[in-house]
Amino acid sequence: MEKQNLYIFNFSVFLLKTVIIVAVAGFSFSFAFEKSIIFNSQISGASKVNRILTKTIVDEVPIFGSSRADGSYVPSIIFEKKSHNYGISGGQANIWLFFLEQELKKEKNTPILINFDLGGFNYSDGDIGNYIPNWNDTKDILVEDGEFYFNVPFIKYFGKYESYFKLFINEKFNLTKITDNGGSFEKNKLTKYNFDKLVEKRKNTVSSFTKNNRLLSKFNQLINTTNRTIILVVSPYHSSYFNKFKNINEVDNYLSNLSKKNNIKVIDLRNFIKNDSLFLNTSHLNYDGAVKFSQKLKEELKASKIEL
Amino acid sequence: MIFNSIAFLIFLPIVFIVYWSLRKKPLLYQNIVLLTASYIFYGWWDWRFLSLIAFSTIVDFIIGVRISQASTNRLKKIFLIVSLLVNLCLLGFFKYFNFFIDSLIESIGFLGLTFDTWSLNIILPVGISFYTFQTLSYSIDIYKGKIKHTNDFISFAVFVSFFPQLVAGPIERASHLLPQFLKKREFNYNVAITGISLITYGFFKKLVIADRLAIYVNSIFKDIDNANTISLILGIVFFSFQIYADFSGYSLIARGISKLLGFDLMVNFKKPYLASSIPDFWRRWHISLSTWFRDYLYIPLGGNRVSKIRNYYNLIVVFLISGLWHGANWTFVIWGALHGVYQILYLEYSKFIKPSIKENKIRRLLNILMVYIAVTFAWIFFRANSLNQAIAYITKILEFDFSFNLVQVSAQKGPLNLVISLAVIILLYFSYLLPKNLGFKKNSSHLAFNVIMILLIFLIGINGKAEFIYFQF
Repeated sequence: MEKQNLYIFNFSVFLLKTVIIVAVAGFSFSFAFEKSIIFNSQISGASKVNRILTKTIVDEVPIFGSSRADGSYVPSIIFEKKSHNYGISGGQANIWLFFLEQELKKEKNTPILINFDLGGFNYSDGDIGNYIPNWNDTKDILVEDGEFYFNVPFIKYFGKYESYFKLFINEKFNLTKITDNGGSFEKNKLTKYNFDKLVEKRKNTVSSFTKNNRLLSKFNQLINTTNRTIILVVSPYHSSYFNKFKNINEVDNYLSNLSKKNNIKVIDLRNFIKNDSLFLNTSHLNYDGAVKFSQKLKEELKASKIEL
Repeated sequence: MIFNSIAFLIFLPIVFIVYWSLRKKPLLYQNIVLLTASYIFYGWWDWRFLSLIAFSTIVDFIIGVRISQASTNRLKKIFLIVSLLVNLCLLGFFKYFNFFIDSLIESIGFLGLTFDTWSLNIILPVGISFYTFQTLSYSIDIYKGKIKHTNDFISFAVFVSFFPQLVAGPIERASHLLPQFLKKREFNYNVAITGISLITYGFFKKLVIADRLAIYVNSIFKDIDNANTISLILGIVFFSFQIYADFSGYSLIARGISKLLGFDLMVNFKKPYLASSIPDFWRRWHISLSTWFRDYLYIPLGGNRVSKIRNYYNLIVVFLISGLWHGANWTFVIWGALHGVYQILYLEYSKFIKPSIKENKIRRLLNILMVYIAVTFAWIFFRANSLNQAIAYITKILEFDFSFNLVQVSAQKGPLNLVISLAVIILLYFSYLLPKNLGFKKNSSHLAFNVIMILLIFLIGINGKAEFIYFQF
């Protein structure tokens, strides 16, 4: 073989060897990381997506919603039976509707609790890292386009390993958050000065209830084809949230009409918390707020005699 | 096209395969492939800039021939001046026009006069400072008789636009790079493997170190008011390593790709933060630029073979222009001026050091630390968006607020990011233990090195598609 050809052949072998070793090491690491870190942390969005897709726990009451669900509902306080908080930070109706759809595919009879945001039916995915481990099952519900390599083991988590690890550490050591059956609750409290700044900002922010037709019809279709009890809960907002809320009557009318359905129960606790120190910001509670709200919700559920 | 993009990941193997598959054809074929690849690479940003680089290439090619053929020195000089004027006018217009207009309007404003503020919306062509200096060195070296002109237009065009080093250097001299385009290249297995290792090490520096540190640095510079002395010091220390890893990472990738194609580019960085004096720092930092200024500006001005005052004047001029080369902003001018002053202070200080005092380890370590502090202080001006921001940064440091608040100290990016940031700097120093120019004796060492680098890039690298800092210059 000519010297140059031999060199090129050897170079190709070198590249191939590098790729094979990286692939074997990377794929093994990726597999171990998924098992021991990503899916081993109940509070990560990725583990919640994986759980709803792969696990059927017959007596588990699921809680769906956005970050307001994730940080406000303490499952062990609300339900005596098994319960899991599937709230996804940054996710909106397109995400909790996906969870609801998956839940309704299961042979279960438990009620389903959904945190109803007054913003209504909107699209928002949250961190795309929540969906990468189950990319094929989730990509169609997302607004955001993914990367072409999201199906390739190891490489698919490029730039995401740290965030999964961070959630895992947070859950194991409860450094800044307290965790409970999927829910994660902020320990930190804002100073009065910083909270007042947020209140001032919120007072000048226009909010409204919006109804995306596709999401709304999907919700209607899902609730009309199940006998399971759906509990819609409006969790607490700070009073400043309503300062420039454009169409609060529309929300009230919508929820009132919805509550007329047999399998739908609406619990409205939007004004339940008055104390500023129980809020993380004007639309989210801190841990103390979450505990107080969860206790109240438990009483409300008891009073409404829903069979849990 | 940037190195850390999917487009480049596809582009490079295609160029590599096509280029070496033509190795048995005449040299012209390979050079045409390189020229086409370089123009595609450059045009990927904005195809309109291609006309600029083509114009610069044609002008300097013709002038190179004319200088060589000129019958008198006067004529040679005229052609050289034409080359200087054309290149520097292009650079001046695209890079400095708005800066000078805005500065002029501000200065007039100080006198109480007002003018309508206007300036053209000029987009800075990527890499213009780099390739302008490269073509200038060609004309000057022919004028000085150091090199002969080339009649091979294609080779000259590739020399100007060679894609691995086109947009951020190293700024190659015609005497070193141009002859490499004029002779047949042979594929060398060992050189190519070293090239691959340089590329992965470069990406490691960029994606693992520079882009990681950028998270903290950007957060601090965005919100100086909410930082304290600890976080501000950490911020500028991190920036010193960010810019080093970013720029040296680019240079490594450029050298690695060149080696894959059978070319040798100059080393641009030699562990600069181990410099024990300011002149030593400039022998280790952005070597291709500092030697360019030395050869084409400092020495022609008289260098150090003049009176002390004149030598100091020369140093200040060189460093002011070096600062301005980096960008059309007063912050860069101050940065350059600071380094000029450092040089003068060092020259004065070195007079008091007795040659009999041997440099022991502790003294050397102290020198390294002092140089690092001086250089890092100057980086504040380099990184700041404006003089006001730089002053605010320094003023805030001088508040001496050493209260330990985790949110402040971690620049609101979390303790894990802070820990990883510190860890990657330690990792950088560990990488200094690697053999010079990654000259591993065994190929298995190259293999292990590449595997480790690639795994680390995917595990702790930042997937942010951030451009290299020096692209803006």
